[in-house]
Parts: sequence; structure tokens; C-alpha cells
Amino acid sequence: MKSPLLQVSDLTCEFRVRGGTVHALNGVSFAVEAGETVGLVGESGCGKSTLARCIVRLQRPTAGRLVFDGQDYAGWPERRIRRLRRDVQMVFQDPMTALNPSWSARRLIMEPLLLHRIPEREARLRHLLDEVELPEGILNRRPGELSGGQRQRVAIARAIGPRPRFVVLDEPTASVDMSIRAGLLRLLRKLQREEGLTYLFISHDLSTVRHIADRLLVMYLGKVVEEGAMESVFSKPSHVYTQVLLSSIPIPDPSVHRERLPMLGEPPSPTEIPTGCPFRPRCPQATDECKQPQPYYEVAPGHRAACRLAKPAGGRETFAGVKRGVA
Amino acid sequence: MSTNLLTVEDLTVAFEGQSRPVLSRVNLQVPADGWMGLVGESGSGKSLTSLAMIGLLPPGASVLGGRVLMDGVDLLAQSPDQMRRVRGSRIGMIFQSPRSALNPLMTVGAQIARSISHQTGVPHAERGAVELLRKVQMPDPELRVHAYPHQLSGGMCQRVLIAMMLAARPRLLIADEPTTGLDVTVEAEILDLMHSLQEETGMAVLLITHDLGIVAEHCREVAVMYGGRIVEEAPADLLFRDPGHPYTAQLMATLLRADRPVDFAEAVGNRHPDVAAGSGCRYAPRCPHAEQACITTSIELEIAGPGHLVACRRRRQLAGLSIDEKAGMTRVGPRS
Repeated sequence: MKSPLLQVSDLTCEFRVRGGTVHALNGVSFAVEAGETVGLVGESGCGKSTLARCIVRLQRPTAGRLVFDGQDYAGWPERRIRRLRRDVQMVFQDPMTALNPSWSARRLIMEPLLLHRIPEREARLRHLLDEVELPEGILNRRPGELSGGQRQRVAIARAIGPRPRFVVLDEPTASVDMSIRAGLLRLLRKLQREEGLTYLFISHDLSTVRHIADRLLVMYLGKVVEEGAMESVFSKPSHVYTQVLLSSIPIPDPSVHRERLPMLGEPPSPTEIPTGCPFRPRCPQATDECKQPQPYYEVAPGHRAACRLAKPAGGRETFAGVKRGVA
Repeated sequence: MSTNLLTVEDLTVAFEGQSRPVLSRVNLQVPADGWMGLVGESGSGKSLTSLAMIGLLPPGASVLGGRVLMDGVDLLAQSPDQMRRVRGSRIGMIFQSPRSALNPLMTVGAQIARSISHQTGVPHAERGAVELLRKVQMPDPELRVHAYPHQLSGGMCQRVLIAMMLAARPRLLIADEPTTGLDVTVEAEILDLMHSLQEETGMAVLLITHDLGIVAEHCREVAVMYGGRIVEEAPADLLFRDPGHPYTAQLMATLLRADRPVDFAEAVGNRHPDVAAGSGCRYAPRCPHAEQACITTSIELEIAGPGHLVACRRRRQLAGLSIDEKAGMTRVGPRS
């Protein structure tokens, strides 16, 4: 079996804060194959952004492994990480804060080309503009003089400039209007095809993720609770949290009436992680069994959920992380 | 025909020093009960319309013309004092980022109590605050009444604001992106709460949002804004099924829905983004069906059917086209 481009294993990330420890990532494991788009969803505070920052190593994980192309870089010193970043890039949620407001678009797009000593930079710059469908006229403008969609295109050009293989997209369409969103998604897909990119697409917007990603990871309180091929997860959501989440999405069609599944209590605190299933305190179907750590049960090939209700009659477990699906 | 609670007539608003008005002859009829949606992208003027209605325009903006009629009275002609009373009692408001609408130095109970006192004249209304928190399904209301806004989640802060609004028993609630920034599960809870409160009180809700999913789910009537004008107004089921304006069609064509995969829509046909919008339709430069006259000739909302108003010169020629055809879009396969 071919080894994945990125393998995340038992990733843990904790932050000491006044009054306790925030367990942002609590043993996250998954793999991303070259050329695919993996969607990552979950609510605010579930650890999505921490995971993104760990993958590009803006944040050093507390424990666990991050293997890119066969090399574990979780503990690499900053100097070595810089070379990794040529391959692993990130597009941030809000280009207004991610881009230096006093730099021109030219300087912004040129910077990563200089940092990574990309040859024939001027030609690359022109090519990049073409790729992200921006006119040359914007090169002398600063972020404040660009539209929201143009700013995000500049941010995308910066990320793909050094010809990375893996790009983490953290809510890349959250800051733009709906009419712009479709164009950005189409652009990201085109770039993936032309530049042979692999994406981790982070979003809280399931309607968007459904249309861009091949596979879906659902996170809750620092854990991946369900993972599988997009259509498999949507047609057979198997963790109760995934079911609640999917039932909450408003459908833009007045003729559709959905039944929203309830949750109990209040959003949890990441300083107090419950034992066993992290969703247990809010789950209407929780039992004593859920106080024990839940293994992943295979729902369909490559589709697994850490919920006792996903247990098939025969009880086939796949163990945390490394294995997914049957080859 | 249901009666209208509030009618906006030819509302025109401009910012100081700008030649073109930011709202241009906006007409809107808010039904006396049920939900009406006001949709459009950022900068289309939907929030400004609601602020003008309640006399809270930002500094630099002024009303150049038009009327806002409620109970036969033009709200635009009221004094600031009179408007303050209207806002407190007849029109309630909730906004995006609920935490910033609360006083960080007061407990939420004290803020709700103050709102009750303001309405009823009862001096110490702390007990009423707990009742209202219970009504908005705040968990542990006896405990939360003593909490400060920073101790509550965004969803809970919005519940507090809804409680304060309820104290006044308004006949119209203006909700401007009330759930933007909240998680999807919390958003669903807040909207469901608002829905049951609306049914209980029979108030009217004017929901301002860019999220057509929420509109489809809650609103009976919808008005669509573009470039400071209403371009279409229709019952929700009709608007989603057979939009009359090419801009509305574009919104519908680019919708992504979570319940089934759709192919991306991609623009085809002639557009003229470099042409400056003239005195005609503001959407004309982006419209695949625009003619020269669309840019230069002014256009009003016209009746296109029962309860259906459209401001498009080419409305008749476009009738019968599919949504994608009206929007000038074609479908691109998911993996192409």
C-alpha cells in the first residue's frame, strides 16, 4: 500500500492557561493521500485551527507524530521547519489580517518566492497572477485597496508560489460574499488539478465542504469522532454528534423540511474533557458504556466513527488512527 | 391580503460628500406577522435600510427622502425622543456579535431588569429577569442572571438580548444577522427559539441575512437588495423556485446545499464589469442579459405576479427561462 502524503498520529496539543490546561488536541489521527482534498469540520473551539497550526508547525504539538512524505517533523527545530514550509503551506481565514496592510500585492506575492529562493521569480509572479485570475493592474495595490475576493486570491498566490505539495486552507471562503465564494472554490479546484496539490480544507460550513472535499473529518473537543468518504458520511452519519451537526444545517430550499436533532446542556469547556466519548455530556443517547474510551467502528470501507451506536452486529473495530478502511 | 405593519416608501439615504445615494428609493412592506427576509451581499444596503427605519443611521448618513410608515405615523418625521420610545416598545432589535451589544460591567440580570423597568416602570425587576431568561431557554437561569457577558457564550449572550427585547413586547423585531458567527448547532437553536417566540407573540420579524438557507427555512416573504435598491420581493417559495431578477437568479444558481451535491455554476455570456453603473439598474454591468438601455434607463419595481415585485426591464423576455439561464450560468462537473 502506498504511504500517505501526510500522516497525523496521536497528535496532542495542550495550552496552560490560568485555571487549568486547555486540551486543544486530544489524540488526533488521520492520513491524507496525495492529490485528495480532506474536509475538516467542527464547531469553534473543537481544535480545528490548532490542528492547522500544528500541521504547518506554527504551533509545536505537545505529543504525537506528524509525518510528511515519510519524515516525522513534529519535533523539528524552526530552521528545519522553514524548508518543510516550501512543501506545506497555509491560507488563512481572514486575508485582511493575514496580509501586511502596508505591502503591495507584488511584494506580498514575491515574499515567499524570495524566502524559498524560487528561480525566475518575475516569470513565476506573472504565472501566479494568471493562475489566480488577477489582473496585473492590482500589483501595486495594497490589501486595503483590493476587494475581499481579490485579497483572498493574493493570499492563495502567496501560498502556492513556492510550489508546495500540501496546502492547509483554514476557512478560506468565510470572509467573502456568497457570489464570490463559488468562484474561489472553483479556483481552488482548478489549482489543485493544475499544480497537483493536496488540500486540508477547514470549515464550519458543511455546505461548502461537501462541494470541495473528497473525504470528511468531523472533530469534537480535540478528537476526530468520525471520518470517511464525503458521500458515505453524509448518507450514513454514524456518530451522534455528526448526526446532530448535519441536521442543523439550514437547506436553501423552502420545500425541504428537516428535523433538527437535539443536544443536551451547554457547549463544553476544553479545560475539562470528559472521560470516554467527548460528546457524552451533550448526547441524548449516552449510556455508561460511553464513559469508556470509544474505539473506531468501521461503518463502510474507509468510514469509521467512535460511537457505540456505530458498532456493527459483529463488532469490527479499527484501531485509533493508523488503519483506515480496507485496502 | 394580509395587512402591513410597516411600510417603507421611496427611502433614499446618502452619506455626506458622496454624489450617489447609498439607498435609492427603497420600497418595502413588512407584513404584520410572520417572518420577512431582507437579503443581499455586504454593502447592498440591507443593514442601512433597517437602521434608517429605526432612526439609528450612522453619523454622516442622512435621509434625503421617503417615508417609513407604522400605524399611520411617519417614523422619519419623529423627534429623537419619540423614536427612542418607538425603539423601546414597538420595534425591538437584535444584532450580530451579541456580546458587544451588552454592557460588560453589568450582570445580564441587571441589564434585563433595567429593560423591564424601562418598559413597565417597576423599579426592581430582578425576578422578572429570571423569568425572561427561562423563557429564552437559558440553562440555569437563576445562576446565569448573576453572570457578566464575558462569562457567557455567544449563543447565551444572544439569548440575553432576545430576553431584553421580549421585555418590551414589540410588534416588530428587526434581527440583523442574529446568528452570524455562531456555530451551526447554536444558530439552529437560536432561530428555533425566535420562531417559537414569534408564534407565541404574533410579532413580525424582519430578518436581515446573507444566508439563504435560513431564509428558506424561516421566512414567508423575501426582499432582495442589490446596490442600495430592492430588486425583487416575493413569497419565499416562489423566489427560490422561479426568481424574476437575474441577480436573484444568480444567488439561487450559486447556492451550495448540504443535503445533496450540486455541480458548481460558472458564469457564461457577456458581462460588462468595466462599464460603470448608470442611472438604470445597478446590476446591469454584471448582468448577462443587460442591454444598453438597462444601464441608462431607470427602473422601478413592477408587479410580476401575486405578491411578486421585480425591478428588471427585461423581466418579460426572461420569463420562462430556467434559473441557470436567467443567471447566465452553466454547470461544471464536480471533478472537472
